[in-house]
Amino acid sequence: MISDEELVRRTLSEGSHHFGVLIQRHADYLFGLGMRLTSGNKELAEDMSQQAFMKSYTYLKSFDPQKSFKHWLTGIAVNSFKDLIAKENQYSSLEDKNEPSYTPHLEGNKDFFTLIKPLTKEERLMFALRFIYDYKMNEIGDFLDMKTGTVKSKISRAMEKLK
Amino acid sequence: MNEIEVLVQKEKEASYNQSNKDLFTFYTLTLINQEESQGRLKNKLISFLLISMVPGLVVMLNVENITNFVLNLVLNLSLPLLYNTSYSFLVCIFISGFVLLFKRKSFF
Repeated sequence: MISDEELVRRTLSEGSHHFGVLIQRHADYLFGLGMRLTSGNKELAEDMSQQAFMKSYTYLKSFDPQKSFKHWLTGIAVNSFKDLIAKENQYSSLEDKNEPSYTPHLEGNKDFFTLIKPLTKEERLMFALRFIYDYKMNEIGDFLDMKTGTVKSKISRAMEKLK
Repeated sequence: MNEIEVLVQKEKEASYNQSNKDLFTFYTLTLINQEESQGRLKNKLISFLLISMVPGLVVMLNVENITNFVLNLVLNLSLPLLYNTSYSFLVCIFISGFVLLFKRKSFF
């Protein structure tokens, strides 16, 4: 099997068709991450993973082949999720509160999504990265452009909310 | 193991699958190619604009020399002809002809 790093090299030198293999390989992973971050909103999860793939293609030249492609892609997906939140907040502030809003179709482990419901979107993101994907505090800090101490305190605050 | 740990463990074991991976890949690649070609077109337009600005810049830098050259050329060609009576007569006829035609507001 061709490694991710080799596929990135081929994409850069030979064209975007090699990137299709990378999309196929990581589509489920990013979709799962999206589902966890959006609490089971399938449409939003798909949008997020698509945006992450598109962004990763744009910035493919900046990828360091010494590091893991999956890890790099996770960072991009996290930032895509942050962009989606920002966009959502922008639109919700413009929305008329009396208008009936669109109810997303939710799927997945409902018990887990109910558990993390009291958390803010940022806290859900940190919680999922720390406890579902076992990322270290400093790695989460790198993804979110935050200090490790800030990540630690935010996660412990989230844990207190859940108890 | 408390309730949170159980739920987290259960979620860790859960797997999510993109419903139609082939279609998703095809659509994402199409979007990528579309964006790429848009970027290429934009770059081409920018370089075309920059290149087309070069002759304009040359003209702007030498505007004084160019106008002097054109004026000299016109004056050098037309002034000696005006001293010639037959040429002057022809010029007068042409000018009065044009004036008359314009006064009628129509050539026909």
